[in-house]
Amino acid sequence: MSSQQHTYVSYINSKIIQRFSHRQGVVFGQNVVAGSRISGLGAGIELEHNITTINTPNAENTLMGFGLGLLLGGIDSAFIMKQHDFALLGLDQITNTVNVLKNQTLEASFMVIMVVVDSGFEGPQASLNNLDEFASLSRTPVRFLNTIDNIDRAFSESASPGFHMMALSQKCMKFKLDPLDSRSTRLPFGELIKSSDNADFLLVFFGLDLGILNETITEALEQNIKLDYVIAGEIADRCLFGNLNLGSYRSVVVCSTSKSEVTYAEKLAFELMKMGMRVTMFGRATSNSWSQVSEDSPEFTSKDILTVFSEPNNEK
Amino acid sequence: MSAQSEDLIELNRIRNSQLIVNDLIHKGEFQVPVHLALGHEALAVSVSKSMAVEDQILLNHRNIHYQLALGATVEQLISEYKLQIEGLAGGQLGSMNLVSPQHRNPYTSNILGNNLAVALGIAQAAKMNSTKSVTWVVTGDGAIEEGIFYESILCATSWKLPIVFLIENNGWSLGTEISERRIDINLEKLSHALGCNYLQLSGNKLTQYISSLKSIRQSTLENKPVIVEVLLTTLGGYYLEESNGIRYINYHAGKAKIVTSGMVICEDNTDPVYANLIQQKTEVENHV
Repeated sequence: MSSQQHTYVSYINSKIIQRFSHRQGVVFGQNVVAGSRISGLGAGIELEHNITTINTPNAENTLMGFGLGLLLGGIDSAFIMKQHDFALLGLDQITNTVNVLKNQTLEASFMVIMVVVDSGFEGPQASLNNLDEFASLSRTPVRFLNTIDNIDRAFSESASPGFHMMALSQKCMKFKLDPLDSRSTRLPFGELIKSSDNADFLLVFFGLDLGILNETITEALEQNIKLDYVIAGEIADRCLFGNLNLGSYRSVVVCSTSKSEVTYAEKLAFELMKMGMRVTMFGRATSNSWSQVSEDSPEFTSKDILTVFSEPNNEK
Repeated sequence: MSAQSEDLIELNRIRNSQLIVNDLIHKGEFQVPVHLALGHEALAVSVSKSMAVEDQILLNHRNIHYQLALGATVEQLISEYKLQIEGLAGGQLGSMNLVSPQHRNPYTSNILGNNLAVALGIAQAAKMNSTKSVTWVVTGDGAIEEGIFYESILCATSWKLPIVFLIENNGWSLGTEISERRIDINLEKLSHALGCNYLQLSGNKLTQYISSLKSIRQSTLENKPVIVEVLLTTLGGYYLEESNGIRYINYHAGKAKIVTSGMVICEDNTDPVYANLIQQKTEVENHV
């Protein structure tokens, strides 16, 4: 099956199966091989003979420690979790145990795949899109399963020994996954899409749901704005641009859909400003609606972002 | 020399080693917090003697007695607590997270109950690797109040993992006794409710402990985990005089009350070191 026919869920399932195709491992979580799975996540994994599947009790703190024990015992594993807020119960393991294990020589990997329920209609529970805190507490990147290239990268990097976290959006699970953009090149922390050789602006996007990014790109194209963009593949303290000549851009917009009060995106924006770049940051604004049942839309729009590009002081 | 004599010598070595460490704590030699386990030596020796070579043990913050019983020397521990390269872990881990994979101890947690969950993974990995090993995990009467204790027993029995959960019940958590912080937990009933075997040990009887632990180890290999609750006294505590009487304050970390390297800490008849001394003294007197 080509990647064009894949949904996010089916593609991620194929990556999980591929991950364990050459080495035995354990995939565990609530309903991973029962009923409707985790909104389809986990479908077909039991067919891979190397995978031992466990439908677990509801015991997330213990399950997180279980995966870390498997890691110490030399067995690869994946903990599939819906929803991301359950990972809060395992924070003690993610912080203390993970940091202790960093002192040891490890031979296996343990990955946690979290579904961020960002649809909003589940109420306060759905207001948790705070992956920055998890990256900070564990000092481990949280990888975004948001594009085919970033998914490939996430699973490739998660094969290395140690603890790994990745997350996908509930909103996007059943969406068709776009094929790899022919203009795409890899940066150390994400995917760069160059629209031309001399784009005026650079947009760096951190998030799982690419909706607002896609709107911005489409509208920029309609307005003949030359815009390159980076889709971050992870939240981590290593946002390196490689050989990309940042000085060629009039300004940079950094955009994050995280609900964390302090984000790595803001840290990147600050670093770019220190380098002398003209930078504008768009992030979520704490809202009362986050604690109510409501559509979870960012507090900024694509039009707000495009306004930056048309500001008169954005001259080269 | 009989096995029993060897065990007693080992027990005395662990007691003396701790007293040496205690003296150094009094002298302010360590920056890292060290949790002594005076009075826990019989259990540590028994566990060490009951473990098969393929077994593994996960420890908690109070681990000095097990580290010694598993093979560490007091010099290695002192160097480790001083964060010197000659230490058991190269001076990298200090006391509360000290691990010694070379001595079958792959993980130690200073966080109450964290090691219980990690033990599940170690046990599952051993099962998948088809080794006939048992995973031992040490915790205390304070940690069994954590939710992770219940969750871990539930998962261990659900997944039929060969694990021995060792509960060192010294009756204290920091400065509060059990009765001051909660109702009494009937661990035997709780174990059985969760489909887990249960064994209680008390009295620091070395021979009986080793025999019981070897037997219980065998039963876990039939895919049934076991909770072993060990009633013991952590010796060397402090007394704090109050206006209305005397209140016993157990030390949590750092120095025990005793300041000399003498063998006797308190006249506790269940303390095998004390009992052994009394027996030797009697034999000498009789001989004279």
